[in-house]
Amino acid sequence: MNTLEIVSGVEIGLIYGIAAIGICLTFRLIDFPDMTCDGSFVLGAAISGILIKSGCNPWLALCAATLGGALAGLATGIIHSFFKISNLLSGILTAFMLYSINLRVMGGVPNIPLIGAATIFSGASAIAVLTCTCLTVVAIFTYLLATDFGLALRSVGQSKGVSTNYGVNIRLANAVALMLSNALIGLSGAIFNQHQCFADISQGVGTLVIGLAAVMIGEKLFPCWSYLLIVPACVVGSIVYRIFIGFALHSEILGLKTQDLNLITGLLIIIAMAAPKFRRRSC
Amino acid sequence: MLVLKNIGVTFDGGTSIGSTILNGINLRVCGGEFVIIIGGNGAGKTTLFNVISGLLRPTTGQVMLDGKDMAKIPAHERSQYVARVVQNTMAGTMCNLTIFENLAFAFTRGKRRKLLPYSTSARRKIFAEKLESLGIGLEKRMNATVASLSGGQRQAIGLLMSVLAPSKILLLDEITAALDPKISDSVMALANKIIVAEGRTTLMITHNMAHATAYGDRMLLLANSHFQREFSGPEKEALTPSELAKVFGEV
Repeated sequence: MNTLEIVSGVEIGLIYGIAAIGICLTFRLIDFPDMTCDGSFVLGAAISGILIKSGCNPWLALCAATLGGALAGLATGIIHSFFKISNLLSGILTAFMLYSINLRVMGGVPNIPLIGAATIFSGASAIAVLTCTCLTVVAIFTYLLATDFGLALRSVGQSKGVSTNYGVNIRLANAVALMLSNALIGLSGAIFNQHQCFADISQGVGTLVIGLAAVMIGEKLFPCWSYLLIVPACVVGSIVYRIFIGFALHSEILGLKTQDLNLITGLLIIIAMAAPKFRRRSC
Repeated sequence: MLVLKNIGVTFDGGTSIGSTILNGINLRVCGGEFVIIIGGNGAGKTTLFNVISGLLRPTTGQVMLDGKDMAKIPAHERSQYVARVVQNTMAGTMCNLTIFENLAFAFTRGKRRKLLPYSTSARRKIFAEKLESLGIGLEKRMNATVASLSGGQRQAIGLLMSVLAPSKILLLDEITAALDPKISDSVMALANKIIVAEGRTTLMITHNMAHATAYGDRMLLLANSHFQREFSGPEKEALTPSELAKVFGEV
């Protein structure tokens, strides 16, 4: 693995780090296994792609994609809270329906190339742009979790009984967290779209698993579970994941190829989840 | 003042297997009063508390707090008036959060939770004083998770959480049931101290006959879906725990 490949790994890691923060908000903070992400990631990429192609300001395109992601999260929240459909199925349904919506957004074509179009990376160092964007998102969400509002969101994931007894509207808290989460995933999709210079309808497949892998690696690297570290740990986890994958795919000894990516990621998550259990059993 | 008017709760209402849990419950608890409720398992004591706190909609009747009908107010909004401590020491606190975080969360009950940091030195000072008044040394462990505490300590935190913000009624649901006799007595004494000092209007369910006779202004016996007997303060004090156990056996 050469320097260029490591830099590119860090870049992709930073982009998916933003999605990982979103996944951490639902899976960890409010304990809601949200499956919307595979759809909202593409929604972000599609919105950004179509806007960039029509000559829109790339930063404005990112804002629009963030808003689109938030709406996707709101849809899942409404399906879950008001129609009383289980949290897992609500997300799956939204992601399923988003496939059609994403194709609509992309004007009926499954692929939008953006070669030569002005993006947030035009005339700037990609790693610098990504680092600044990531730091901003990390700062905002670390602060959010340190507020009374953030504490109320965390209470939902800890104990619904305590939460209700102390005045938290669980439906509303779920909807807000889902919106924030999918807004970040949409943003991540849009940045990915501008970084890769194309939008594709199948771009979002595996966002959830990759994000979850990043969250878990982050938790292993920062085991002291302080609210100040949850958010940055997701981004660091995402970068470490990319570098790990890069080394795994480039090592001659293992003989792994690009198509083995999903298998490695899946095994990585299983090991991360199973390892502490085995350790406890042995002592 | 809490007023319950003709509260009835029937599960599976309308069917032949429907079971009546509560029927014709009338109660008036004046401001600052401390009322004890006793009754066997399955008598409907916790169901009554669920009705008051809004977790369960009664089949018939009205819950009034300071003259306001609570029917349309959902549990999470009612929490600004109703404080509650539950029997299970794990269910009344958030185990994975620190003592400070639990208290900070409870402190904002009934207020808007704003986008301002929850960890402030002013709050730390207030909580340290409150924890010190418990007299079990927890003021030095504010950053420890609640999971690392013993059952008695957790229940003391749960109790403190419930009284950090003002309430119109405080519901204590068998708060000492999961504790050993010694800790049980100290948690009960602590609860009584807070209730008396702050003049909290309180309803308490207990199975501990000694606590039932020693604390509170009056006592109600819930049996056969309604309040079967009422004991005034002096009547209650004259009862020994064994006599009370006999009354229990008669119903």
